[in-house]
Amino acid sequence: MICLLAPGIVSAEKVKVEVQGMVCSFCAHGISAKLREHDAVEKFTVSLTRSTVTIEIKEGHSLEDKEITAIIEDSGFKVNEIKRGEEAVEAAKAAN
Amino acid sequence: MKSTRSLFLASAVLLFATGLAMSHPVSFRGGHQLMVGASESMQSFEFYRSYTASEAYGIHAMRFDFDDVEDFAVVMQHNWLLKRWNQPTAQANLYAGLGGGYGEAGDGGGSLAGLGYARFDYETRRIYTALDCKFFGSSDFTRAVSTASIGFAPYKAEFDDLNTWLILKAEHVSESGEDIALIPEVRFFWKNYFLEFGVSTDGEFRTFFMVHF
Repeated sequence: MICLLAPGIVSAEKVKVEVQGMVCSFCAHGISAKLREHDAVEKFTVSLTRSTVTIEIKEGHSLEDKEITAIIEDSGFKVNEIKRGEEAVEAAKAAN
Repeated sequence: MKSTRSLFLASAVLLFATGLAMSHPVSFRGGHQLMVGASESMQSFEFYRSYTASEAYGIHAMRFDFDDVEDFAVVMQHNWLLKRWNQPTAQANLYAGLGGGYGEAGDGGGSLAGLGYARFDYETRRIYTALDCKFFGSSDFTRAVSTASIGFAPYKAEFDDLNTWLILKAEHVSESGEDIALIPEVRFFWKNYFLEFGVSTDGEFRTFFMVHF
């Protein structure tokens, strides 16, 4: 518990979003433009091969499913599934 | 999978039915699109703001120069994404646009002008098909530009990679006195930049540039 609270040891939350229709990087630019300017987003990766967007959320911030869905839909795509926690971390590792 | 196949078939059928490169009439909510196209006989300029993921407004100007007769039109345009099919490995879109503004015919007459436009496209990471039909009309001239495109990507590019596409486009411009032009093109895009080059079978060079921001 002490370790979890120590600065630099607490890992940021990771979210994996499965997205439908994301076949063209130019068309998906809207997703990266919106995530890049979002205060809660530490970093993110977009994979066309896996049809996923993996988001690392800054410590002390949150990003609800509803907001993620709005970002994806405002970019013109459809959310299939949103996974958080260990499942998303494993998915992110596999994507790297 | 069945609906993906149906969409592809619909696209293939339409490909033989009609057909200017107006690749993204609508982008993402709050996004802007700047598009510039040029060849010896046609030049276009488009700038739109997408206020939703399915609606955009902006300005569209086009100049035609066939057989030393020049026509020009500039309109305020509204674009709609009427329907998008997001599939696991494909996307298809149906767009429409309407505009109104000013047109000038080659003999010097200036008058009100209108624009109507429709587009259907279907793409996967390896296959691209599109049909565009754009119509400019005024009391002094009418021009309809119809385009059908089919293309493939020689490799599957990832999100941060340079994307390369080889496209074959068939284009017809009404009142141009010319037949359907076949235009092989090479298309590149990287991040939010898009660049296309082509040479028609009668030797006319053309280029198209687009950026989203």
